[in-house]
Amino acid sequence: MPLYETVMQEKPPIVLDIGNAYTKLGFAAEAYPRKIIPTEVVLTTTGETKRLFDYVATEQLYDQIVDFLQTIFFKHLLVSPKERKFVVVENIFGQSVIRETLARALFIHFDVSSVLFVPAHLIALSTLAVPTGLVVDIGYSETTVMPVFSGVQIMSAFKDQSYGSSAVHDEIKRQLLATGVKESLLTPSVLEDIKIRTCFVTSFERAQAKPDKETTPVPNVDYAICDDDAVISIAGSVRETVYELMFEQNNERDSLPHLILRAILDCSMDVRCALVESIFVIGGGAMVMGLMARLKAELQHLLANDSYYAERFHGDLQFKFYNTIGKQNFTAWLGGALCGATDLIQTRSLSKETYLRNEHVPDWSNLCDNRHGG
Amino acid sequence: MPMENNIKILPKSVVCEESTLRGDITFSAGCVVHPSATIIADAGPIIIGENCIVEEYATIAHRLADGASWDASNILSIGSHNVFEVGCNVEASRIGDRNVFESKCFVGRGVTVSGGCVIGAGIQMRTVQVLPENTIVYGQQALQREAIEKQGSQTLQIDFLRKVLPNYHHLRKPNYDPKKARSVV
Amino acid sequence: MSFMQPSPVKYACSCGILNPINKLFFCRHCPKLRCGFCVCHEIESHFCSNCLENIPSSEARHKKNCCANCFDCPCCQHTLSARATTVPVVRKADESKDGGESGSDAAPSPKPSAMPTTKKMYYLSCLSCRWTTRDVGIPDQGVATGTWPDNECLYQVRFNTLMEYYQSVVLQEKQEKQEFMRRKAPKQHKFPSLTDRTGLTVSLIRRQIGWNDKSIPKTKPINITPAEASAEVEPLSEDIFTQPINLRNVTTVAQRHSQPADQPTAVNNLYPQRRSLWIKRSLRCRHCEHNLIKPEYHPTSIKYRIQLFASYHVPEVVMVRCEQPLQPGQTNAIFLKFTNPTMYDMTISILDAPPADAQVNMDAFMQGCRIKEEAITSSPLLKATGVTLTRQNSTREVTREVRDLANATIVPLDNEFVLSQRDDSKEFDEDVQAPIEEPKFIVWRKGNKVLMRLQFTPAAELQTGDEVTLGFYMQYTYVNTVSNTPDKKEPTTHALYSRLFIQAGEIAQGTAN
Repeated sequence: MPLYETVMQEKPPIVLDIGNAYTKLGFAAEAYPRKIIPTEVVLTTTGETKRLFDYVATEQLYDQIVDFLQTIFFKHLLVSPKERKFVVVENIFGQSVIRETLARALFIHFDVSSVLFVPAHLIALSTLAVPTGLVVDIGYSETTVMPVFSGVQIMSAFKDQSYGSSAVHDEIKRQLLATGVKESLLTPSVLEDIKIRTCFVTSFERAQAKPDKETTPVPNVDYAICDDDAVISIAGSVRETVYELMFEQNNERDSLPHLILRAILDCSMDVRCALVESIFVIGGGAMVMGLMARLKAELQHLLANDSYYAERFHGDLQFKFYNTIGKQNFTAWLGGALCGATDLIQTRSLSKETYLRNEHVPDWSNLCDNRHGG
Repeated sequence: MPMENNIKILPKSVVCEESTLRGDITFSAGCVVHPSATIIADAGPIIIGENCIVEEYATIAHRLADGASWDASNILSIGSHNVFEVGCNVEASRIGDRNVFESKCFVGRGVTVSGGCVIGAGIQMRTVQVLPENTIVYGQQALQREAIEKQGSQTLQIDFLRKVLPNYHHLRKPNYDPKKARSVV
Repeated sequence: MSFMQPSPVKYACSCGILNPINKLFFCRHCPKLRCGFCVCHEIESHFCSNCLENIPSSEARHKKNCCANCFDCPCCQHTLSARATTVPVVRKADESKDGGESGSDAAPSPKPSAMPTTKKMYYLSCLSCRWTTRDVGIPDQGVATGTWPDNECLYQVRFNTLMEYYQSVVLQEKQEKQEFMRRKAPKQHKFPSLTDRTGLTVSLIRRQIGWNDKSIPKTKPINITPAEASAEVEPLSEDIFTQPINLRNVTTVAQRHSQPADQPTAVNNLYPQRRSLWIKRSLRCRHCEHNLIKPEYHPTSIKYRIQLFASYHVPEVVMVRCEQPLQPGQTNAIFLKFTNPTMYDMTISILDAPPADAQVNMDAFMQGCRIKEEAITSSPLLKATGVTLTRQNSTREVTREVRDLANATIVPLDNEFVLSQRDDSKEFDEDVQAPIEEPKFIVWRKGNKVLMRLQFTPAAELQTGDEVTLGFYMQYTYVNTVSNTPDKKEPTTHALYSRLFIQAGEIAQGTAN
């Protein structure tokens, strides 16, 4: 295959997936990211750590992105970004200011040769080699649902809610504060550690059980917080219930199962059945124990017992799920790595020359970029 | 509190004279106490097991609780083969065998150290807690992990110190021989 | 005085960012101040920070930027070190019962009669958290740089299939497009070629003379089995409701992310990680593409081949003290120590506005060139150097306006003063310099150092506790030893200026009026 051999012989493209909490970075055609690092910058002036997307002015964001990318290139990837090709996995509904600033930093400050922006949901699906799927991305700040049919994203059926890992952190904090733990102890890193090491999604049966009914409580955990040298007890109920905010039953009907079902209903009738049988859950938030089992039980339960959905879904439907190859938190990155290994990096990228002509990243939502009949 | 120090040193122990010892302290056979180590038995006797090493500027203290007074039955027992590294400060309520207290660590009064534990350098432990067997506390966040086996004893080091220390320091003489004591009684 | 502490004196870099002088570089060819933000960083060499071995970049790429010999602890990310133990080798005939003995405290087999042969076995151990390869059941190795298990990726085969599949899909698409374009585009020849008229096509001729068809066979996408969705999902184990969890067996986020391929949740799946390489960087001026910093190649050396730190070229200003406590609206004076780091005398003047001749040259001013350069000897030279300096290169220089932080007005000095050259031998001279006529703002002078007094007035509206910042322009003469033009060999003198901001301190408590 002489055509793509030439692609591989030159320097492999860099694949970046800059998430709200963690950034996945590595090279195209590799099966897993080189590093997964917190999306944080260390300010050179004060030495304090700061989240990348906390900013006041665009210029500040630009400086932070430059600092962050500098760390990525010279501390983690150890390659010079100059004249490199890039694949950037992006949230399709992400803020355009971030996208524009990132492009400006890459093209103007780092002098890269081309950048290929790929939409996260679509590219994640490519790791399965299937054209159709309902991609659920449970991220840090939000959970998004995007149906994809035959390789086309159904934008009108996109759904998102603000429960992601950060909402879970807040819930842990709220519940622990209620048990009398000092607030100063519960730093974000402690909350994350508590979440990842002790918490889980409980089973459907236990969640449905009435509060007054006695269930065997989940064992408590003694958790040592080291900064202030304290030991706090994390009640079993905390471990079990913090993820309930994704499944909360309320009048808004915006819990995760509802979100999925509504996204399916927003698609045309012909694709619904295919979507029901191809749910694909990705994102770091999806790695918690018990999530998939619970999600499936909830979906089947709603389908059978909720009159709204029973009216609209017909036939004997069985929800089916795809397993990711690799871990969920870098599935979208993996798609980008696959994409960067193909010739698409030559043909579809935004090249430096094109960018410098009018310093603008083409955007699907921008009418100016969609005018021509191509 | 007893009016005078009552230091019992069993044979084969090497206790340097420049060390600060206060209260009722018993060193079992084979202990090595470096110069300027400090052992304070305010609240009750301290009994140190065999082959322990107490390095320079290490402090082992059995301090009085508020309002308490000397109590001969309140014994701080320290097991055998423990290493107290340079500058550590240990006030633990009980210490088992084969523990390592690394440099500059602090172990507070409420802590019970079982056996085979390692308290990493610079770690501060104040909260009341029990360290299970083979716990290793390490790193800036004082994370805990469990070792697969107990730390190896430092026999070579003890033998070396036993040879070297007497060449350069005055030693306190072993003053208590269990065999003799038994024959006397 | 302010070692390891943020310096109160900040210089405005030519890109507009404020930095203390020790973070600035000075491009002799431009000649301008540069900072880490406005220079081009390049990778000079890869090395391992543990074994200090230099690794060529091609090898580094091949090894995925990891050292071949050094490992990091998966538990605490510290470096692992190899420990040796002696293990008795089992003699088949006579000694078989001692064979199982091993371990760190393994004393050599005590039976002298059997003449036990021992061999050294190695395992990796972390000196920080005492993790060992034995913790996860990795057998000891016969050589120190043993064949420790590498991260293997469970789905590598599937990934490769996927990659081949997509590559062939994209390739096919591309070929179809090319085919389409060729058919769509009419022949552009003005005259029909011979082959067209005779109907002899290239492929026909090739076939006639027995060559292969030149056209590449159409690629078909290779077959791939798409992933199967299943209704079966991993159930939550019932144990979690009843069994207490042991936090020591659950990995932390950092531990998981240090093993990105498998991200184990249990500590017994942690494996030693190959240590990431480090790099040496060289810095290059974006404007003239000259190196500002070039380290020596060898990892053990900390010297530079090229080092254009600003503190070797630009007079250093150190704030000594203020004369009186700072009060809003009250005239005060600040003592500043100037040091000349160069081998040439400098003439310095302190201004409250950019030098007049710099303002005339608005063009240069707008480009953000905050330093005006002027050849004293001849003005055509300036033109010549100007031409060479504006050589365009690929990377654009982005400048921004200097943020004016000053909230005090200074009284500019009425005349300039000379800062003598640096002379290391003079440091030890006993004889006192003959007193010379000094301007009265100069408090003290020794060698290449001058202490001077600068009057200023903090703004009247400042409140107690507000930071007072002075801003001024320091014009200095700089003798450039590198020549930008080949014909001119003698050093040229430039009059440069830097904009400085000094945090004088906070408005003191007390009654101002």
